[in-house]
Amino acid sequence: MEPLFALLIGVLVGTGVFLLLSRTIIRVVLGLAFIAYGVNLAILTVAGLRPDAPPLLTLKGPYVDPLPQALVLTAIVIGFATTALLLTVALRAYQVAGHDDVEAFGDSLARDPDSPDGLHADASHLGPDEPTEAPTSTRRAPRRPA
Amino acid sequence: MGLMTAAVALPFLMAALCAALAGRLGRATGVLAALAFVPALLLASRTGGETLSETTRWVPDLGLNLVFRGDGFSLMFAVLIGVIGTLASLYSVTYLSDRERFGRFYPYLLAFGGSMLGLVLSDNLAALFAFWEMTSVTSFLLIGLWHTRSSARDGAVKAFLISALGGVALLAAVAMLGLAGGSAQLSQLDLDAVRASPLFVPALLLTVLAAATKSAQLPFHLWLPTAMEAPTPVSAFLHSATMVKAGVLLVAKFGLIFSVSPLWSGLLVPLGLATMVWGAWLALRQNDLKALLAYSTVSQLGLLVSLYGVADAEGRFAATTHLLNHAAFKAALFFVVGIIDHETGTRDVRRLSGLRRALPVTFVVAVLAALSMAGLPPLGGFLSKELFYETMWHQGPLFLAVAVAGGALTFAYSARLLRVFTGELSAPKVPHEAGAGLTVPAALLAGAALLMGLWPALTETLTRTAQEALAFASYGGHIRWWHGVTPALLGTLVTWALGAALVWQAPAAQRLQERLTPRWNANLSYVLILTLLNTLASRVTARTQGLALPDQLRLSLGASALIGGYAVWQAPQVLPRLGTVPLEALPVAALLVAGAVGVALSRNRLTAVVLTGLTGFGSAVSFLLMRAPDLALTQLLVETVTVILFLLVFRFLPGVRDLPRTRGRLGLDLLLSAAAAAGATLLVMASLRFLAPPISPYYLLNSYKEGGGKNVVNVILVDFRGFDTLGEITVVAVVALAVGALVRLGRPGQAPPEVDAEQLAAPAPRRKP
Amino acid sequence: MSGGRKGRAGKRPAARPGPAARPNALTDVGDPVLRVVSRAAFALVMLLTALLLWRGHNAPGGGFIAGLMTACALILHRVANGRCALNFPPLTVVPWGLALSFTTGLVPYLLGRAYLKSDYGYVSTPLTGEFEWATALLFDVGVYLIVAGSALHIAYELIDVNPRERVEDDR
Repeated sequence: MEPLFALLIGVLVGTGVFLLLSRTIIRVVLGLAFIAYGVNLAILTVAGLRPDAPPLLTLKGPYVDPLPQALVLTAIVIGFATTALLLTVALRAYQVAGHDDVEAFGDSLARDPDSPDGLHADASHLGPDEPTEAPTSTRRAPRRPA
Repeated sequence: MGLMTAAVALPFLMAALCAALAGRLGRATGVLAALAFVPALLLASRTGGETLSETTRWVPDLGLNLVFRGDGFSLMFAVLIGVIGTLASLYSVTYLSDRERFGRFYPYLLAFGGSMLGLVLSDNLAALFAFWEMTSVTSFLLIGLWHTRSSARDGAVKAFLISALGGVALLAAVAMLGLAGGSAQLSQLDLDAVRASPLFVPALLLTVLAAATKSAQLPFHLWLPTAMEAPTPVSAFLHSATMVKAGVLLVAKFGLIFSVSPLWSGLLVPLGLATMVWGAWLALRQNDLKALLAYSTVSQLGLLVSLYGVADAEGRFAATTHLLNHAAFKAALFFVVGIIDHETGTRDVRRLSGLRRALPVTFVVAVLAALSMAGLPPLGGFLSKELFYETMWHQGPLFLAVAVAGGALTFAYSARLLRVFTGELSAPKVPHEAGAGLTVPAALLAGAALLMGLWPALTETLTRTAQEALAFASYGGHIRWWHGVTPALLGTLVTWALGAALVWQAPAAQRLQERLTPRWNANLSYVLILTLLNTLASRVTARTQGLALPDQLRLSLGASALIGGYAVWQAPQVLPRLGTVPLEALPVAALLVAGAVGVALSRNRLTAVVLTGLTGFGSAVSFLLMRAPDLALTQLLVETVTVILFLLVFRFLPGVRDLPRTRGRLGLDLLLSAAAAAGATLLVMASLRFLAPPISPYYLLNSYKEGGGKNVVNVILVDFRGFDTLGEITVVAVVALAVGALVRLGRPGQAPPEVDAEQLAAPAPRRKP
Repeated sequence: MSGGRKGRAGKRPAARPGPAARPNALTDVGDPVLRVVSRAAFALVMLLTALLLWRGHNAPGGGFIAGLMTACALILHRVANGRCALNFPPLTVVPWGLALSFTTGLVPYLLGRAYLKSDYGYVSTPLTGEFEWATALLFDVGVYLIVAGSALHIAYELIDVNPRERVEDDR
């Protein structure tokens, strides 16, 4: 049974990578979810798939290996949390950027090396807990996607 | 809990308490804070006895224990920290303004006090390093306390960067010592093994680097003057009396290990003397009283480093005496400058004069402390300066000459400090004598400086408490007023003569200073290095990380594919036999493949999410096949919730259509996906061979006996590997908070757009399915 | 940021406002069948949850599964009825869960044993027969609270997303 699952894992991971390389942000999130499916199955598969009893001591042995199961259970829940976070990030990124094309995101990283860097902040900058006047000029109208 | 552990732990506990109560207590928090140092003060009762030792076990297997070792020197230092800490806390009560954030200031101060006490008392090398770094961090926070000033931020960053450099050096040094000496405890190192080890010289050099950064030796002295952006009580506590002496402490304690090498003295004595002279030279040209004191501290630290660097009984005796004297007079002077600043509103020497009438008590205190600093009788500074000259004379006449030059400059800047009290009264605002809250701490310290001068036997007794710990019990000399006509006495006389000349010819000296100002200084190099690093980092990031996300991923995946491909090419693959494919697995396989292919091709949101769910349910069924009922249940539920989340998000997202990939990239993506698929398959196949027996029988055998449960997976989760689960649920909780924050917050740094009433009133358009 | 807070307060007056106050989707669901079914299912699912949590130590189940199931039930309830069945924000149980899990671990540590070492025993009553207790159950309850609270919080936050920048159609 292991080689079959090895192939299935390959299909899942391959699909995940293909989705991950898409330009649409939601496909990137789906891609990560697919890679997670593949990896979860892989952890269980490499422990060996034998037709033994589940690791419940109320049943009669021999039992399958319980440790990878515990690891994967953790991984599933963490995977859920990451997917939720990524979904929210995708949503916010879309709302902020006005489009969902990841290739057009992130231009801000390639910043001007000679621009002010925050290490030598200007004196007029006030701390977050300093009483300040409400910002008036920076308010902008909501951007709507075309 | 032993007294030493309490002395270290209480400041941290009180820091939390002060943070909680500061809102209610206001400035009175300082009185509460002062209580935190009571156990440290009580340690005074233990000095002179045998060495104390207290161990709190943490991870014994890794040699990570909190071991406190109270030898004479450590206890002396701890009591010193306790005294100055108490006085600084009490002084702050009156000094700080009403608008100060007490809930920050006192916790930082106490956390520093606890770290510093931990640093001097710790015997464990790892803990020593940890406390060392904690003093750097707390110092950073205290320098940057008034973070709305850019100079405070710059000063904090500079101090932190430089002491972090030293921290890294110290980490490497203690790691080497631990490896070479075969113990994680300083007192149990095998010294012969350390000295024979090839790690000896690197460890020595790194220790010198660590000490030089922390104690502001050349060329790292530049952080100390800018650290004066901190409130004055902090300057008195951290940047004159305690933290900057951590490097001196390191030189003193590690000198017992390294002093066999001529390299140790050969590096430290010239370094210390050069720092002493250069610091005093720079102090003489300062107009800001606090900057003057900062450079004077640099100079005095150089003196201490050179004395401990000599690393013989005489040098250590002299250094320990001066350590005590310096703590007394320098903290007193900082308090005096604080009073002047508080009462007149300026610290500029040029704008102040004749303060002696307005501030008579402060004047007396300042005179006592400054004369002690200048090394005049009958004050403590005189006695230790004599010892200093004596030691340097034994090193050679040249050393004495440099020391005398430094001493003369010290004399001159002490006089410059006192100039604000003489002449006609002039100040930006009419000064009044400060209240007892400010003068008493200063007066106590000045009194101590006087007492140590008037009563040499007391000074000697205090110094000798450290004699066992620092191995100078054999030193036969004594602290006396009159040693006879010695080279040291001659040196003192020359110092006074030169110093008096400098004071007398002050304008000429000032012109000379201006002419000798070097074009280049350490601060410029610091700024240059920092700018270069920033530019380099930005350029590298822009070049390598500036790609669009998919291209960046293609780069990483391509690299992994190359490495993985090479591994496959090199390693002969032993594929297991195909085995039997059970019939019940085939529908699952079909489900998984159909889901995967379907999602990749789908252009419709609902289809995509349903197909993803299908794959998820497929893997849940696979878990059942793999005899994992817990996993199947969890996957099923997670899938349900995830699908719901996807649907919720899809209300606002524009679908899952695959935007056309740019030319050539589709082929590359297909290739990469195929490589990933092949890689995953091969990896799983290759991992099927067991190289070691599985560890899981332990869990099966002990699940019921140890954990009392029959569901082994659950017992592993909540008992055997409970710590992992704890970490995991913390992650889940943090993610929940992050999602909440992401949804609620507008764009960073920008107010969310106004929503007009019209939009609120109208029902939101709902999507038709 | 103060402007931001004001703006938000204007949009969301109370902690969890009723359906009338929020012009959002998922609130004005008017399907009576769904509502009735969900109410019946809700009670059943919550019972099942308690069972799963309780027996998790000896049979499939446990804090994760029970937590997720609770979250499912409550989300269904919210979708069907347009309001939350809880009268407190779900995030509030998360710190309690963390505290519970941490302290269950801390108690054996303070008694000088390994951190998180669990203890168990048996109580026999004539009514229930042999009855096992384990401190691990407390830990699991902590896990349950965190998973349920977090999943619910995430879902509720996503339900409440401000739809201001929503696109009308994208096909």
